Amino acid sequence: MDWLSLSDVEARVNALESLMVEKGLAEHEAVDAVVASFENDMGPVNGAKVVARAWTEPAYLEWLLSDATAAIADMGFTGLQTEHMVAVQNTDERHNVVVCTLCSCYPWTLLGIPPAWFKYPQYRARVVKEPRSVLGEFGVTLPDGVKIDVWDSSAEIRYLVVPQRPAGTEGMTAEELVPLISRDSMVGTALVSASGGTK
Amino acid sequence: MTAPAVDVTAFDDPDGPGALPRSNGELVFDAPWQGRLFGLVVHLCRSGAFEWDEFKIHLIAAIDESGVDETCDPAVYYRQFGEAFCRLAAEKGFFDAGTLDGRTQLEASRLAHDDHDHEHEH
Repeated sequence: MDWLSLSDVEARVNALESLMVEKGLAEHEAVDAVVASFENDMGPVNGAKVVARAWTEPAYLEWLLSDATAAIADMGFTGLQTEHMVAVQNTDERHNVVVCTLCSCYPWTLLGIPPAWFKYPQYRARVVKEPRSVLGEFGVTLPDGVKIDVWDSSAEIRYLVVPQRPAGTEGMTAEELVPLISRDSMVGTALVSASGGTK
Repeated sequence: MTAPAVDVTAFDDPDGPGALPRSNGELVFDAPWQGRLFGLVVHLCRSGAFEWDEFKIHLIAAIDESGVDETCDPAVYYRQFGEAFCRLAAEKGFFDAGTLDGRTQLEASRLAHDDHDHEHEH
């Protein structure tokens, strides 16, 4: 077992976690919690800065939607799987949700370390087949008229959801908006509220 | 999904041979599995599965024996970190190597999207 030459190190780490969970020594949610506690400095805040700028600069939003890779690179966020980004915008008519990153296809520079649920087979299979109920389980209840688009990440393309800017934030600057924008809202499993909640 | 902050200073030895890779004081990872592995090991230690000092002995040995002490590179460091955890797991009898190999193959096929059976909508 030589880790330095291991080609499937990601699978090995997943295997370690699942074995320890089965043995009752670990819980996925507790690992999530540890990861969440140190990911903020390196993770979703970058994506939130992109979204906040798009909310406050119409020309930047247009650029982001037409060429996300370049628009994101303009913010200084390059590499680490942000080479081929597509931004999809939530509107009153359409909600976007992203699936299937499995670590290796996740906009890590923008969103930090993926949460465990993002890799669960249940999430990956169900959000495609029944996105409305899965979103409901995340606490996102959408009106029946809202169409849901499910975007399947790949090694070639990763997606950033541009959530809807909540009412009541009209006077806020991009800097003030950043803390409101959660990781989950940029994956599509949460909405943004003016109070900074995740629903 | 918010979590109380975890003070990782208890799991680091900044001036020692097994110091965590940092940049400007912040932990550095360059792939998600590295953070996940670190999170798992920290969680197991916090929940009492082992003492950090027990792990540290294996970490220092794994780094030393690998002959690669570029521990500022997270891609190398966290492989040594994984090696150290497996040695500790063997010592503690958490699982045997064959079990881990089998599970790794299973996870590898999952990561290769083998278990996808859905129609993509676009």
